[in-house]
Amino acid sequence: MDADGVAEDAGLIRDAIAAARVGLVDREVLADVVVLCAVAGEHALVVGPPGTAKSEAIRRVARRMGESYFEYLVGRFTEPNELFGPIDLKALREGVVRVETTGMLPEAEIAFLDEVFLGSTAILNALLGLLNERVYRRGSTLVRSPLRVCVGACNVLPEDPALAAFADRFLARVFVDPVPDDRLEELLEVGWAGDSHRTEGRSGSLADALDRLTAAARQVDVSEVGVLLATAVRRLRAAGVPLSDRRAVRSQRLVAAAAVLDGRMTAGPEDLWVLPLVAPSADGQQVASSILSDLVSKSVNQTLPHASENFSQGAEARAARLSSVASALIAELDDEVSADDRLRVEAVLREIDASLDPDTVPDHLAAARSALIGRLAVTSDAAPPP
Amino acid sequence: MTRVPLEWHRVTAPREPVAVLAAGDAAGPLASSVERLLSRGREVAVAFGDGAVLALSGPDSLPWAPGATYLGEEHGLLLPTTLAPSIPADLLRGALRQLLGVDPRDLRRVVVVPGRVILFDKPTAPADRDELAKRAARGFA
Repeated sequence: MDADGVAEDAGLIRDAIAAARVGLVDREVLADVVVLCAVAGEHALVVGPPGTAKSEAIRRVARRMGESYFEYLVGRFTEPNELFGPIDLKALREGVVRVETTGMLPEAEIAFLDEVFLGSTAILNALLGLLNERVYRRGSTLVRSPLRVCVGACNVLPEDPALAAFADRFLARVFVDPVPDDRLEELLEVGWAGDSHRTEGRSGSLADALDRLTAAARQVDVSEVGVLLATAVRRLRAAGVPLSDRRAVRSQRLVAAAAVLDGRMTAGPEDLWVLPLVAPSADGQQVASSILSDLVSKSVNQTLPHASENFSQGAEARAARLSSVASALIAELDDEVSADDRLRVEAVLREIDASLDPDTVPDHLAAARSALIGRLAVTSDAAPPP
Repeated sequence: MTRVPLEWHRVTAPREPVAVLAAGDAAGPLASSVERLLSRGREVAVAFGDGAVLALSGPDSLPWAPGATYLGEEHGLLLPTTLAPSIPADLLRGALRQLLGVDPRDLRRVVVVPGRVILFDKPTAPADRDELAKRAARGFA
């Protein structure tokens, strides 16, 4: 696939994910990672307390991509048929074990399994086949699954070695916390608005664009970053971040996916921001971000600005993310900025001014900053003089 | 006595902001921003010194005003989030405390920015809105 085609498809996905992020509060990184994994053909694990909108981000991405979506809260007593489908009783009377998988997990393109590690042995064994080979087998039923990405969720990482082995199938890890203080008003507003805050329903399918990008990702030239990747893995292992050979090898898929989502067929240092994602623990990711900071400092990704900035902490990625946030906020604001929106605007301006030296602010961000300041001049609250 | 010029360079990763400084034309707008946050129940502390105003809060609750400088903390000094002095902060702190006569137990805040060192009064938490208004009326002089 040529670079122009990749850039065009990346643009389609960029617009879709930008729309998916509207209304997400502090879950933009998760939305980015789901798309990255969908293109890479890898799975993601989200770790965080209950009630932190983990599923909402994945649901929005699935809706915007036009993909079939399956979601389930797994419990200790969940039966396999609740995930994979009921046994076809008519066939069973004829002595054939066949599963009716219509609308169930084996036919989903994007799946979210909450409390995934609570599943029984039977469920986890069947899931392994689905995650590894994209195949569901039971009796005479053999379904080739269109699964692009399965996102598992849990409150804490499992300590049981058997579950840890299953968890290793989820290459990317995202650790979420409750929404920070400066976005609480935004969270309350979005939460109150509920479904009315969502934009139109299911979009036209971007399956073709995703298929092309996934295929393109397999063809990406990663030779330029091979040495850097090996250096990164050595540093992580030396720092005590356990990285299995499987995770090390498969991290290249994330690097390649990042490249195509940025519209390129050659991976470069700007794609190495994905590396902390494969560190298996939250502490490991912090260590990874710190010890790999020089390798990932040039990171930037136009389609996944939130994730690239979050995992690289690099100035370029930060500027790209802030520019994206500022532009989205400007598009949302009414002609007269309300008091709540003023706080949101000031929060973005604060982050720009606190994290970037004025001499290093790129033109696109400087323009967005000026536009935000201009909007503050039109506010509906008369700020009381101090 | 040997004079050692204090030079500044950009940091690779910005410090987490814990305070914001405004002087001159920026002070009034910053005070207004503090007032807005206080009226929303946010917790912001304020200190005054040498014609400037200093607001302190968590990184997600700091006020914003054009021309204000965000500060992070290093070895007890408040330094710009994006710049580092050529002298290590712990040495600088020791020298400044001697120069300014500030006891280590003193709760007044020392801010060091390019071209200026400011010793602020002990911050008031939460900020006294009447005091903020009076100072603003006097131009923070």
